[in-house]
Amino acid sequence: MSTSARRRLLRDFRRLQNDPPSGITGAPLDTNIMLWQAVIFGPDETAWEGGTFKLTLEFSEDYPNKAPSVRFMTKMFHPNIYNDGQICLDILQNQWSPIYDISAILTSVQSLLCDPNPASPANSEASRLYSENRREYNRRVREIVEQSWVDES
Amino acid sequence: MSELSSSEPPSEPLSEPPSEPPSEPPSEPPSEPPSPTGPFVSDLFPFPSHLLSTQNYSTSTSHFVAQLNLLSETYSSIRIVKGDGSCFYRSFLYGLITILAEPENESERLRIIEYVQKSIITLEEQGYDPLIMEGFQEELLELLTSTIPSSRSGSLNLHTTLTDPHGPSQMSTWYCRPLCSSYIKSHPETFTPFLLSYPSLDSYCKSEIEPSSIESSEISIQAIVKAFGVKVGVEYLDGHDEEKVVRHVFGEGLEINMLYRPGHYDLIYKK
Repeated sequence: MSTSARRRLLRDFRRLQNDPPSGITGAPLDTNIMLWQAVIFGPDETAWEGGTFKLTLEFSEDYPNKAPSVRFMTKMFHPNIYNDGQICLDILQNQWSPIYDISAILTSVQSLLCDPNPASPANSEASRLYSENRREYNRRVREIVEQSWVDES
Repeated sequence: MSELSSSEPPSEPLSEPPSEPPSEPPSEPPSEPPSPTGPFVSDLFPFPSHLLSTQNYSTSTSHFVAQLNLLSETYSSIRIVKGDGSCFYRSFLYGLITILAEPENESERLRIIEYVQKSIITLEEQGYDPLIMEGFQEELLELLTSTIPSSRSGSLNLHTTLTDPHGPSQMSTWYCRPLCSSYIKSHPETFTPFLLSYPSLDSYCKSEIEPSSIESSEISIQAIVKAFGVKVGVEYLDGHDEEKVVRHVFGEGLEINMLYRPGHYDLIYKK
């Protein structure tokens, strides 16, 4: 039976294929439309430039009434990303609205990379360096970017 | 994920404040809001005996029991609605769809179908993405068109459809929110004075109306009854006064009645 969640995911998929946001790709697994893999490319002219960051998005039958579970598979160093890849982002938590489709979610995560929210630290070291020692922070981000190429292979 | 509270107090009353606004905290917590894991909308229970037997109202320190007894002169049954931040919208939709399924309300059902069919145009004018919104609109139209005034057994099927966790009522419940936002944004003269600290109606709606976990406010209730052209009567069970219960009436048209316990709405039905 086609549920609301599956119908919506097909709609999201068509949308992502027909009108892909810059620097973002994503698709469901061949075997399971409820589980997606995505890649966010680090935005140009930032410390994140050149990085290829893999994520998984796991949807429940309650999507889009409930947010998917989104996490980075690539190791990250960012004030709002936990060591296990989980992301602290308001629209994925208490500000979730079904208005956000997969394109919008990934676009928000992409903007979070360069625009962290110091008010909700998920990685205290990254948070501290971001506010106190931006040069060192950027160096650590570059390391993550290079690491992301190794993860690729 | 943070745990979300569904027990926010209502915001300041809109244009027609009651003689006693229900914004003060009650003399005791009246009840636990219904569990967020219960059914979306319960079966019909007798009122007020169901509440009296499931809630620990203390007669010595509050007027809740006296107020319930006053209300029992008018109302005889209640449906408990899930307390997940959408209780008002869910009560509204459930109440609306079931009333529209009554044969005598066929012309209203057709009018509201037409309103929902045209809603995408208004939403697009207000900056919403029609591709996303169509998914929600289709589910609401499915509810409105599948609930053709029906045989007696129909009401049972309707309850099943309206409470199906993966059925059309879930997306339809949320669709009430952008319909509400869209009405607010297209009536700035009415709503701008109530923006509180928000710089624009857009940002107000984005933060206070559209997120699934945000409770309704008197602003959103005013907007939704006008958008749909129906009436919502709210009885405020606030425990303030043993001799009266404040009733707010929003909008005009077919009537949906709700019981408000601080932080939560349920559906109530007249005798």
